[in-house]
Amino acid sequence: MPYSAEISRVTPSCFLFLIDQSGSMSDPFGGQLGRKKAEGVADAINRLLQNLVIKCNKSEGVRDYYHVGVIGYGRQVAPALGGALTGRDLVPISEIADAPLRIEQRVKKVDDGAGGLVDQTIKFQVWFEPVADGTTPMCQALELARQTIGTFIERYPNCYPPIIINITDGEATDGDPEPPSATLRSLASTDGPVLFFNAHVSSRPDHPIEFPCSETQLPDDYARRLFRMSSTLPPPIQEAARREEMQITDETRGFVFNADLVAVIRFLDIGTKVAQNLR
Amino acid sequence: MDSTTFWLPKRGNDPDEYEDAFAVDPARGRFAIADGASESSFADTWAKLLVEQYVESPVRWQQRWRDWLPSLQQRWLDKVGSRPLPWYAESKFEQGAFATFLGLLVEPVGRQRWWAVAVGDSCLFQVREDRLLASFPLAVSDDFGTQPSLLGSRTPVDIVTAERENHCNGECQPGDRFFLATDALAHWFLKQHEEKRQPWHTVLAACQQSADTFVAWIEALRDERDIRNDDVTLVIIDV
Repeated sequence: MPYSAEISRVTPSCFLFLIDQSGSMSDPFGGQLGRKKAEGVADAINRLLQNLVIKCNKSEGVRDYYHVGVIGYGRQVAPALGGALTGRDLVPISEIADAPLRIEQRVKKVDDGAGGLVDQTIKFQVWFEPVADGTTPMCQALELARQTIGTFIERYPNCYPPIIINITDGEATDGDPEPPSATLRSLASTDGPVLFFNAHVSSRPDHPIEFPCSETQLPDDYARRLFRMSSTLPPPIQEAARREEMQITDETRGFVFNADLVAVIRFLDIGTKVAQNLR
Repeated sequence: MDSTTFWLPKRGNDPDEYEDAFAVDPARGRFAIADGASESSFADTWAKLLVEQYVESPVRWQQRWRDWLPSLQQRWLDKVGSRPLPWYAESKFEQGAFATFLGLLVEPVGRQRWWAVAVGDSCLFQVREDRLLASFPLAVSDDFGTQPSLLGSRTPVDIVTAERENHCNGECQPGDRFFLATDALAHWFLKQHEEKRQPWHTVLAACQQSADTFVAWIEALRDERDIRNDDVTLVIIDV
């Protein structure tokens, strides 16, 4: 059965993030005053990396269940991790864990257990800073992703299929991104085709939409195109999503609108899960 | 009463990465196994504390759970929380460690009854005269999943007693055998039985000679994908 390969240190899987860094990313995010799309994107990628590192953490340290890369596209199309990881395309997750650029203190509202909210200071690791500069060469980014993932699959032909997550406002300036995304989705390990998921960051004030099953419910052409470019969720991920009581059909795609994709990380199986409601 | 224990880490892991745990005291008829949940941290420490406490405990545990679980949770906290942790370990520490657990008490003398307590999918099988007499807490192979009930190092004791624990008891007699197994092997055992086989013969044949033949047998099951690649623990008890 596809998407059943064990994710281990001997046969790791891969996450590759494609980040839109174009000038349009300085527009407001989701109708929120004073907050730019580029900031929403930086938060999204940093949160994904935090969750992935924590998922791979064991008593003795972080296990390299995944290799992770970030490709930025805007003024240039290139690996976008900074600091000690500058210039590298795919990095074992333990190296990501040890090399955030900085750790911020952020204030978060949490339930005080008595029906109110209290401020709690949390640590927020930052690997990736907001950038908004240049055009949107999404097709070139998809081509670089194809090369990077192709090399990974040659090295680990039996791996759990790599997951590529594209975070963008959808306004490609170097052509139609649907054909190169189809080429990317055609790459496969012996365990199945790679998974290409999209997170649409929009200036529209519409409600967030997570994992839709049809494009008719989406608010604009950019969203609908990104939906068409996204992989449908394979059955094991559908099953994990249903356990979290999400409304999932066989047509559901890995696409979110003004929402994050952190749930995808929870849906991946690297051993006995601790269900959310058990904590 | 005699008992023999076999264990093997998940393929690809080192022996010190084994996160199951077991403890036995045949003279007092106490046996326990636990399976640390692999997505939590410091689960090996928690699983070990649970089984050791069960076997050493002077009273019948299932009646006294409320009395000692909080202090055991504190011991886990003391062991794990006393060292500085990197940022990524802090969040899993806050969540606590989780494990499945199975404890068995067999009265060593007298009318020979047994009591078991379980959280999750570590299982007990009682075999008499070539028949499976009891299967606890799961009785059907389809009931195994990747999200079993778990006993947490930070789970309030009320939740454990109200929602997660299972109890069972029965009688036993000389010649009976108990097999305690963590989920991967327990799942195989029940599936074999559902296919009208007698898995206890296979287990005993593999375990009769040495730990090496047990290891070779499990590795062969893994090669054939008849068993999930996971830590394996097996305790065989001859009453």
